[in-house]
Amino acid sequence: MTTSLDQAVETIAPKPGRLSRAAASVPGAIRSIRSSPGALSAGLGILAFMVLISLMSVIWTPYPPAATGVGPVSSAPSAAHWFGTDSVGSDVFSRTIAAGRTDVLYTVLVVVIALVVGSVWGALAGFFGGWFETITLRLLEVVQAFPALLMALFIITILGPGAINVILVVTIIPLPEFVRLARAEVMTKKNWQFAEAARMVGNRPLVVLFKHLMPNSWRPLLAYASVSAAWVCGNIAALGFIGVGIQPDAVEWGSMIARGQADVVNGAWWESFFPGMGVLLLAIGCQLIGDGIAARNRGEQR
Amino acid sequence: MTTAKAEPAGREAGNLVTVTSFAGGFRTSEGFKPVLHDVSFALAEGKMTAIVGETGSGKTIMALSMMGLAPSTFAKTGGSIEYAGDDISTYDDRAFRCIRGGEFAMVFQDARAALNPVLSVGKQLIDACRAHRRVSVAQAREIAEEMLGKVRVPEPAQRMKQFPHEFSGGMAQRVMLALALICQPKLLILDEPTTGLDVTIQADIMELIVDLVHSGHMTACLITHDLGVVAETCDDVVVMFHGYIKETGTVVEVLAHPKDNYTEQLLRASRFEEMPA
Repeated sequence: MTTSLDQAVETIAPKPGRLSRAAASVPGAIRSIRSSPGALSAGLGILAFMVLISLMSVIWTPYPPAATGVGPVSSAPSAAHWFGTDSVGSDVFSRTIAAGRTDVLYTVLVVVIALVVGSVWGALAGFFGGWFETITLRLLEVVQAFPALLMALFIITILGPGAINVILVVTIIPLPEFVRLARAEVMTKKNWQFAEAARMVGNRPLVVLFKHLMPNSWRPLLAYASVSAAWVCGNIAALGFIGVGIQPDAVEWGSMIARGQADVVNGAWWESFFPGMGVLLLAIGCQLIGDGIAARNRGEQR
Repeated sequence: MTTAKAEPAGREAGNLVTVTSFAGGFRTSEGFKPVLHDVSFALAEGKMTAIVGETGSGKTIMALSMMGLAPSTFAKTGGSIEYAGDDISTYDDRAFRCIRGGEFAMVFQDARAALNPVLSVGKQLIDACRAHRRVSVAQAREIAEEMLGKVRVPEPAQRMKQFPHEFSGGMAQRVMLALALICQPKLLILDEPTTGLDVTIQADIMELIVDLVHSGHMTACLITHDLGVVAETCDDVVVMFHGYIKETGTVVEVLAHPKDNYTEQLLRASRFEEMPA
């Protein structure tokens, strides 16, 4: 029995070196992962893992993340310090997982604000049209005319760094796309017959919009939300890296990478590498969730 | 099933809605396209009036205008729609909301497109009920269940939890009917309620509609191109062609002794020339 099962497995399972042509090249492999049905669960898995680690860091870290001199200066990863120590003797592992708290929280916060504000704004513009829609569209064009990071720096320079300002800036940039998406969704659906039927029974326009139309439109918005989350966490880190982030001395991936970059040339790669992996992992997780939802949407449209 | 009334009596006994010289058209990129010309007819209270005509004759846009649901590209160019002493064709959306559902309700052609795919049938009925009547959710649920029973949906309590895609075409049309009737309208507009259905189910649904309209003492306006249905179910008939009214009168008058050439053609098309006068 076992031999026949093994044979069966052998014939079904692809042999090494006989990979499909799509997966043979690196971009091809990435593409096939992104469009595979497992993308959603993989993304959710990564995100859940990061949230869990971040939550754990509230209760327990090997060393206090903000403390300096808990070990030798710039020591390589060891049993005592899993991710090594940085130039002031802080434990990189403790700092990396504690920073995850900040970055994951801010990313989620920004995306939720952008999703809610953008959807409602776009839905209203698409539903009622008129001058409100015209002004909205012109405004979006202005915002989208600037390169994203340049715009972020520009606003931060005016407002000054700080948590609230960072949230504001990082929200404004993906916001136009949410508005556009929500507007397009509502515009295509507002003349569908079920919207007409909802009006027929005497519902108020806002009830028709938010109770009948919006629940039919959340999928593309959610897909875009997770894709933009990847961008958002990268930018929060980028602002932290150039020193205009959440707080100059906050335990945050971007500022950790900045702090460690001077030592990279001396071979102390671990100081910047691990927080960098944090940003990367979070971005990949969000991107996979977005791809997974998008793949499902396409699947259901067929 | 009721048969066409023989006597034209009671015509003078009050009209619920009177449409007078109503005209309008669509604003398109190639300019204004008139679709309704000098349309005048009346919906007699407590009667079932049919609007017949071929596709594109302006039947549906006339009905939508009565509901204030005409698309925004449609513009009225003249005439009036009188209801309860008011010209409702001048109403804006807010004013129309007082009429929709509670006074006038409409059944759409494709029930499955007219039901919201993401809300359960029960939720849609409860919402519609609560949009007009001051009742609690629990009360509304009872009313909705009762209504589903009235439109002869089996096991209404279970069906309330289901979504439109779990309903067959005929069942969905019953739900649509329940949705229209739950606000107890005075006028029920039926826009080709049986066109998308199986022939066997068409008769069931029509019978149900006639029963409900009669038992609820409602006025009904049936938009159709099926003269057979008109002959069997309606009291009055309005014949439309290319946005013009060709003929109005009782079913017996019009179908037995058509005055207009077009009506005659329509009758011949549905092989009604053999119909006994």
